[in-house]
Amino acid sequence: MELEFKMKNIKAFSISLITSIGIITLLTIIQELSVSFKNILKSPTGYPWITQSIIGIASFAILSVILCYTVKADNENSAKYIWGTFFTVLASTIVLILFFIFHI
Amino acid sequence: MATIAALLSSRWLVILHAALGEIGALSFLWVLMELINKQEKSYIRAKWISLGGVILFFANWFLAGANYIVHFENSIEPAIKNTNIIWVNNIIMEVKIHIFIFIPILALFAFLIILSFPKWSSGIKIPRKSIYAICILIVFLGFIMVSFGYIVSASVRASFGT
Repeated sequence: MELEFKMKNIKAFSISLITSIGIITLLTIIQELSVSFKNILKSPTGYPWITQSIIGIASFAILSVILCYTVKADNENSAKYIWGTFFTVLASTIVLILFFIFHI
Repeated sequence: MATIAALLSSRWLVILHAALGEIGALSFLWVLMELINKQEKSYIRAKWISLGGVILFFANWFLAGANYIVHFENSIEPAIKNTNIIWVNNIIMEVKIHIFIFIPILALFAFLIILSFPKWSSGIKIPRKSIYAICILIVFLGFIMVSFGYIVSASVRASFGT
């Protein structure tokens, strides 16, 4: 069986993932600095990280669908967008590690 | 009901959580090897294996969450907090929880990107190196999670003196 895929908008997926990872990283840092914000994140699911996970996957999915239809595909520069995503995830990981090391 | 109760028992939940995470990370190493191969059949396998990796990582999200709620916050976290290795909870576990959120979404992104290039073996303008880098990043983050998990479990064993 062949897996087929119609939406080939790498620019849209990359922007969506960069935004989603940025949101998760920001929410993590803000909730550690503000107890009231942590309580806001906690209130819908009981745990801030469950709310963050839902926000992360929902923002990626919703933005991907919206951007696939609104942003013109730029597959000539797809490497640039994928590298951008790679460095965003790597930078977010380093930022979170450093934040938790220096936050305690 | 007996199966669910058994799954919720500490040992099985941790074993399943670790196994799914490690197999998920290794599946993207397999995807990387298949993509480097640049054969049409390898590309078809890469698509299916990456789909399997995405499913494993999302299943692991739920297992990790269940493990945290059922066991970690009730017995493991208080045990670590009573020792002089509290940094394991405040740094290692906190980093693990939050970076763990990235991985399934990144795996889904990798799967969508791999699907976007149907002419993998013949296309000249395929950004192969950047796609390889994403697969390597998933494997790297997966094994950071594994090593952090090992540090946490070793700390718990040390705190209980077992």
